[in-house]
Amino acid sequence: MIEETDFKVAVLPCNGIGRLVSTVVRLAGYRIKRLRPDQVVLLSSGRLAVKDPEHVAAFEKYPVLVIDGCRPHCASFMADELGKTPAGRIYMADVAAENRISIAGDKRRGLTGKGEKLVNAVTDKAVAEIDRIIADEMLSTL
Amino acid sequence: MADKVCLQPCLGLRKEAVLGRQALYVVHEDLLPDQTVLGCGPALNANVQEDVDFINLYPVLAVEACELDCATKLVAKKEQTAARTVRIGEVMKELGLELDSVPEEHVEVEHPAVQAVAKRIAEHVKELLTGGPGAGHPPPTAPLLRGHLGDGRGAHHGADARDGPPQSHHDRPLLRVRRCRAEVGIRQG
Repeated sequence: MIEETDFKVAVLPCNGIGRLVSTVVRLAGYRIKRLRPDQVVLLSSGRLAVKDPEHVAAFEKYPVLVIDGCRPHCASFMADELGKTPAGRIYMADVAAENRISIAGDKRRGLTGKGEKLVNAVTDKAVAEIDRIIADEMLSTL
Repeated sequence: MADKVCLQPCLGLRKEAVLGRQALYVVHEDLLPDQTVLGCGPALNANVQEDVDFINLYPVLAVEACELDCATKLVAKKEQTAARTVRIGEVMKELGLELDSVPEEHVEVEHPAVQAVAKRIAEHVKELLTGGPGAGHPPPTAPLLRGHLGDGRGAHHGADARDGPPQSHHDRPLLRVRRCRAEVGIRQG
């Protein structure tokens, strides 16, 4: 884990509600923050969508990692709308395919073991991306 | 008078937002499945047609976690007005519920606070459907579209879709919807 705390990543999970993956993305966001508390600024898509100044400031200040739950890629749309190319993007279907995890049968109101597996997989991938992004930022200053 | 209400949660990160989200699953899936559609904020922001249709066709009940009222503002950003805005914190106060009893990050739908808030939100829905304040929105277009949209089973995106497999775009007669809306002069989303 990177010890340097001056470098942070703004993580933007879509935080949708409609799909089962929405719940996966939402829970992954909290876990990512728990695993990298000093490196992650967790953004609320709701606040960013209406350009809440505090969230827009964090979005503009730090490199952004977007996590898209379903096909419309709403978190990516939001980043595009605000005029910033994310430093990293994670799409749930990619993570599910890479890890061969099926969450069919789970419920969006509450996950069981299968959904939890995907939460962990996306969390791991996001943390690796965050470390990469921070390393990239740090090395670019040397 | 509208036959459905669009539930539009703020989908923030704080406890109240999580509680509101879970309560809306209860309202939409258990209490009033035929009278509600579930709007997804990020999808609405991204102009996903289903979610744009929801706020144009049905009165919107915005469910907020805090005084920032992001859901209400998002609906305004998309050139509609929420028929009613409720804040979870105020609903909890009204019901004598303590936020301390609600866990961080995730709360089960069986939690008494979720169930109580869901019932209160369902009352708001019923008020909107029976002509309460805000029930005038939208103009009398929804009956034209009854059965065409909003029951979730033909949705491609899934804000209103149940946990079943997504269905084909072709299952969703958007062209017919657009035609109906054009006939009655409704703005296209």
